[in-house]
Amino acid sequence: MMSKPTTVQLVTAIRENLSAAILPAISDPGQQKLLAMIDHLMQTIAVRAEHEIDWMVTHNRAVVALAQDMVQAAEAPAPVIAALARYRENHSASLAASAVTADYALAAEVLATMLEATISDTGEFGLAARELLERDVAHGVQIVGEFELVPP
Amino acid sequence: MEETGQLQDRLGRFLAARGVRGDVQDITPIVGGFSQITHRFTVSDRNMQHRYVLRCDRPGGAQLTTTDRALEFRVIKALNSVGAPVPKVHWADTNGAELGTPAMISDFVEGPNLLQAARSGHLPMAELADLATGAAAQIHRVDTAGFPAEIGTAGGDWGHYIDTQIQAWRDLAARQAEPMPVLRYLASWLDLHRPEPVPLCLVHGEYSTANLMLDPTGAVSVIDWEFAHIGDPRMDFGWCIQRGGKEPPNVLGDHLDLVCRRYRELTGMSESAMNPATVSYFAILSGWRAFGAVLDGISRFANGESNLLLSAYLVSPWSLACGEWLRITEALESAPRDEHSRAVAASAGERP
Repeated sequence: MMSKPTTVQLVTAIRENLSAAILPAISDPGQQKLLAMIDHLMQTIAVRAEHEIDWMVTHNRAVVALAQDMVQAAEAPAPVIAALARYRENHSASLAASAVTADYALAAEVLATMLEATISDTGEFGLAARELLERDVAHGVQIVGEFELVPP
Repeated sequence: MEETGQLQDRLGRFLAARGVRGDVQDITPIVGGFSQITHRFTVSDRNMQHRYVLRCDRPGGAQLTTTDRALEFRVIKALNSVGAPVPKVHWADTNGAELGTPAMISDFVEGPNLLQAARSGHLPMAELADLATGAAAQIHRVDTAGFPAEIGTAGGDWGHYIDTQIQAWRDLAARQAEPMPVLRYLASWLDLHRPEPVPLCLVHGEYSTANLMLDPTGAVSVIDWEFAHIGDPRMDFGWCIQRGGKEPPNVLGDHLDLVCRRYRELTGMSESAMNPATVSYFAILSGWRAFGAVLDGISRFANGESNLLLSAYLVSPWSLACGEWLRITEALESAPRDEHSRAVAASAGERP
């Protein structure tokens, strides 16, 4: 296979052509708005193509490591232990996007149970879980980039 | 929605059946809403011209939200009857038998909405914030005796109401295509940080500057009542500042101290109940209503049940909202009580 041009380069080129060649030929306001939505989605695809596997794999590892620490410290309630067990039983070693996404969902359940278990305390596990959540949400914001809502 | 010619014919027959004389002309789509389709049109005869707004359900495949035009029609009728600042509603086709889709027809307000007025510099921002606050106070004071029972009963149990709102966050989390820790965290956070209770009253449910029309006399007229319910009045302010963060300028969010002070003057609500911190709590709490249908649409897309591009597109405002909400929780937790105003104002609606 050829890895270059990269996905990001391809998406960027498509966006440029849509903007330079297609958009000027469209006069219908509804179609212009649709194209603006498509352009924004292409922008998010470019960021995701570059980063999302790395972000999700790193996130999954960090969540699982924190949950393991919580278990070892005997501070993990049953939902955290159960979610961690489900992750261990079902996660994949593959780096295919579909496999990493499935692992990310398993890790999300582990993180959610940790956040719920620590919501009313300021201990190290609560702070660390919150930090993982903030980092994950920040990736979502980074994917969006510049954005102004286009009504349909 | 169908072609303009067909719509014109249907409208003509619909109005004639109700004794309205004249030709239906100038049917023009009004863009800007995410839920329903709206058109402006004129009815003209030799003696008069009258402009109306037709508000219709979207076709089934393009629906992002599902609300009841018949209920909305009854709510607006009730609002009209008590003199609330709402355009007069005239007729409804509640099952779509005559207009092709459930729809209703109201008076058209000749003027910009407050968002347009803010963007054009039509009036100073602080004045617009004051107008929006005054209109909210008017709505929240409405006596809802005789309103449709479906919207709830004023003066109910505040704790139960908040329980219901927080449960809605949890229900939303439970039905998504993937586990979403942010939803579950926010539900738990909202449960832990409940503000001071206030009496429940009529709440617009989608109070934003885009839904506040400025008529030629300078008065505010509030449109789009599909999410009206009996609730905590601070929900309307919370919704408005979270929406303002995505549709700048954030007229209320940028003047939150002024808004809270003015609302207290108008309603007698205490400062401990109505302040930037409590409003910001509701900016998060109202989020399930703002984004519930959006997330459900995203899940349908993710599950292969829909290919509505709008749903994929709305991942972005959802992602931004999550960032804003986490910043608000952090600001509210870290700032001493008397510094909440500045901390929250700095967080609400601003991008990193």
